[in-house]
Amino acid sequence: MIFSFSNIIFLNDKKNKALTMKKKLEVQVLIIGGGVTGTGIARDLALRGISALVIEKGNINDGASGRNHGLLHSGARYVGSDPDSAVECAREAQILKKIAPHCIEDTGGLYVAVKGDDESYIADFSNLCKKSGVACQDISVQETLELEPALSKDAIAAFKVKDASVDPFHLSLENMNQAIEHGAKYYSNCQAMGFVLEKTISGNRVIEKVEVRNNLTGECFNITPQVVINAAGAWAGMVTDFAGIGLDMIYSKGTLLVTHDRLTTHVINRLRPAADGDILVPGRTVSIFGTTSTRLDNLDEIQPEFDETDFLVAQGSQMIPGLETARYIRAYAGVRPLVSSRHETKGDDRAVSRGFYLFDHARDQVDNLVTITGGKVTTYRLMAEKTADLAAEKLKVSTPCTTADIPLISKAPSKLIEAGMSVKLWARDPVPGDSMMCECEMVPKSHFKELILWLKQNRETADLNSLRIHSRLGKGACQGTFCSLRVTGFMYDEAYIKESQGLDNIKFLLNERFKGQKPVLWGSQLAQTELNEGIFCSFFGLDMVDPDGKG
Amino acid sequence: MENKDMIHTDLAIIGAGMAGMAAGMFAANRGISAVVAGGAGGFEYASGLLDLWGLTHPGKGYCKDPWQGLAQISESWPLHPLLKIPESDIGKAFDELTDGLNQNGLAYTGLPRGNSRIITALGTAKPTYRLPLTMAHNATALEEKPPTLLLDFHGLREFRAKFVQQVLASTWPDINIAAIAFPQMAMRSELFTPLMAQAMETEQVQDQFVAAVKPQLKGEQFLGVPAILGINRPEEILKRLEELLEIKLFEIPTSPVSVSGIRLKETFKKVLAGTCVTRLLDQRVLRAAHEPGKGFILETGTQSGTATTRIQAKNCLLATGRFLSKGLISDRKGVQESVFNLPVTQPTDRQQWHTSSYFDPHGHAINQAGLATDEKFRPLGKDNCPAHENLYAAGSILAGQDWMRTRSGSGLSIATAFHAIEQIAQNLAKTSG
Repeated sequence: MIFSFSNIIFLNDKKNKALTMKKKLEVQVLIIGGGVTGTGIARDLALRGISALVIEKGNINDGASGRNHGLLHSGARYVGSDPDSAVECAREAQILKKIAPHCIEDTGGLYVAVKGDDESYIADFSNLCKKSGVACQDISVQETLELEPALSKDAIAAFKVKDASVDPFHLSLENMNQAIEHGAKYYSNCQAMGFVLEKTISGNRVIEKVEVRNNLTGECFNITPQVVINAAGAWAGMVTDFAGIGLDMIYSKGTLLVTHDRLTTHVINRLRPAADGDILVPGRTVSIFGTTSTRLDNLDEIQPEFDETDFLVAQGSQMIPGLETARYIRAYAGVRPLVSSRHETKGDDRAVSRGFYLFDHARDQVDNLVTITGGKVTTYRLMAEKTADLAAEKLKVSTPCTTADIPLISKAPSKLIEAGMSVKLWARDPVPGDSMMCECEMVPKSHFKELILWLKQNRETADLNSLRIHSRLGKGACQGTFCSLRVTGFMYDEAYIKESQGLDNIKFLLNERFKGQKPVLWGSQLAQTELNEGIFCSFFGLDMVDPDGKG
Repeated sequence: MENKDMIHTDLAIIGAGMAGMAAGMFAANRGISAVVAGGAGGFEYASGLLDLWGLTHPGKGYCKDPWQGLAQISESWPLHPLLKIPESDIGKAFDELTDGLNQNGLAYTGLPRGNSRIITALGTAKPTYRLPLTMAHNATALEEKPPTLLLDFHGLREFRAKFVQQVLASTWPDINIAAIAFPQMAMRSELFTPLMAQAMETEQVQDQFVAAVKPQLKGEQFLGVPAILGINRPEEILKRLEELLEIKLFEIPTSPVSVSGIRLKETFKKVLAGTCVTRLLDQRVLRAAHEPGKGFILETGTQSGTATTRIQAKNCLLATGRFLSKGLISDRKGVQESVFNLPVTQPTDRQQWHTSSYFDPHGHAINQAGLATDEKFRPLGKDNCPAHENLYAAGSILAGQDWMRTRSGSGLSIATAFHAIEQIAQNLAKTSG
């Protein structure tokens, strides 16, 4: 395990040193990590009336929470390898469909085997499902092909399951926003740097203060919590290191591809023991295809690789031939936070339990530290519940969890994160004189205005990248070519930015978008990038160090 | 097949972008019978600025004198196509092209040997060699930074005056901004510069524009507007507005779809009208082959793939451009040339196509992929000899250049088209003589 934060840039060292004023913040529970688990815990605690603060070193869902399929598992994937997970998934998926229907598209799922796939697995599948209580219906190949014409004619068997598509960004935003409405706080770009521990009378230790740095401003400050929850996902081991506790994590990278068009109506799973390139999940207007499983030694470089991309396309086209010729708009990679109880480690990371891990570090003589890691998006609510139970117990609060019953809906404009949502809202309730800022994703000016106002009130920043995080900006086919320019113009008009900030904003956004496109730049998307480069380099000169007409 | 019209011509030009249309003009001027086939959509993405060369070396900033930049070209771009053309020919090519455009109502200007710098819709300063006359005062204003008014239009998304003002604020404090409704379009929530430019061609709209602008002027010396001053004869509109407003007026080029690009497209149509060069409107070459004894046989048709015309040509010039115009096509395994399946010089694998940072001043290797040619701009076949005796290539499809990063797009197209047409003219003179 590498214990270093060397990959984090000190954005403003000088300022960091000059800052002598230190904030002091007291909170009942400090949550480290703004993924779906961390934000879910914040919601859970806030609904119990416990004050919670989430610190996130980057932005919401920067880790695995934002870098997965967006698959709400029926449980069928785990019936063979991990029946307990299968049962949990089936139950939690039902709960999420009830409390957060607006974050979910109930697509249904298909398990499909093609010529050459393991016959015995096909034969056992429906029995295994039955054992775990996972609903599963045998359907004919002909009917399957009628349902999903994109499937290979080489299909030999198929089952229908209750998979669905979920937008993990929407989930996390709603978690956090609802938590904030109930008194919680959220600091983005704030990273835990260390713990100040004190001895207790019993000889154990407690975390007295958590040292935090704002990665944007370089400002450092302390937080005084009663309980610290480590929900840092793959980075959890670095947090426990602050208390001298070793946590043996396995970093398993998964790469996924985003297609320009939606290829199927259902979630499509390859009917075989879990392997690479066997799940295609529709996400409103696109499809997400993956994944791979590669062991990483550290978390410095979580990038999708070219050979992974090629491998995925080759694998996937066995099941869905159109994946070979599809236009891809992005690739991304996430790291599954897997915990190895040393004896459990086997060759394939998929064999390590996908169930979650909750550690009460009182067992390591640190009384007020809790780590939650592992798991998956589908079971995040349950993970949050169990973690919040433990934190509440430490705080001697007996209010029970209500997250399975209270609808997960906030008043914030987090719906704008959903593809296709802006245009629906706009059609329903058009604003006179409104104009389209983003034509790929059909987002009008009024929505950006609403979002900027909300960001100004609730967050410290309102720049182009924040707008991207909270909306569909830059996520369509043009990947920012036209919308970045128009929205930046709008931000100037509204005096949200000044001087040459707009140029920096555009550069940052386009470079960020480029990184995700690089492994899939061929065909139409390469042509799109050529247009983008022609406009922003040849014409506007943003590749120049000092393009702004000075001198 | 046999029933279709067969056009017999000395030269088939495939591609109707800058290189194809420049070649058409050069052919017309030399009395070469030619056919230009290909979509002209590319001009809508063009800035309308005629760059020749804009860079010193990668990462070292813009150059003031394109000729000086070109003199050092071999150091950073050893395979650049412009290295094959004498400086004097590049100059001649530009002069012939801008003369032709001027004669057909689109005036270009610029410094005798230097690049002019003009402000763009992002407030950045763009160097270019020849600029539309309607942008001449843009360069002067950026140089002198006098009190200037930038004009906004309600509902125009591609140009926001405040964007430009703020970006330039530290070096050019005397910029005021004002917003008006565009005449007769006040009710529209979204404006498009091509429609505004079209409307501007009537004196009624011009007068309404003047009436709306006058109250906004507070003694500024210059007035800047996005490029909307008409599609045809914009300099006449500019002159009239300057007289009525008693101010120096200039255009600021905007991102695509750009009026200054559309002007080029429309003017090239006029250039070729009534000459020995036929332009097949919005036809794409669907099939092309070289048949011994017959020359090039091309079949053109609509975008949907219906063949309509057959062309038999003695010479062929490939000016199909790069990925956006589908002269080059790519899949995850590599890059191909789309018409003749010529060998494409390219990085060995896709991983090398792009560097890790988008704005890396050295650019991306994929943008130097393209066709290798001999000294006469004949693309090379598999054996490193010209693929065909009479097949030429011009423009951005050529290998060894990165027009976007070197700011040499138009120069590359114009000069290579010129050189290829000169060769073809010589060939034809030989065979007929």
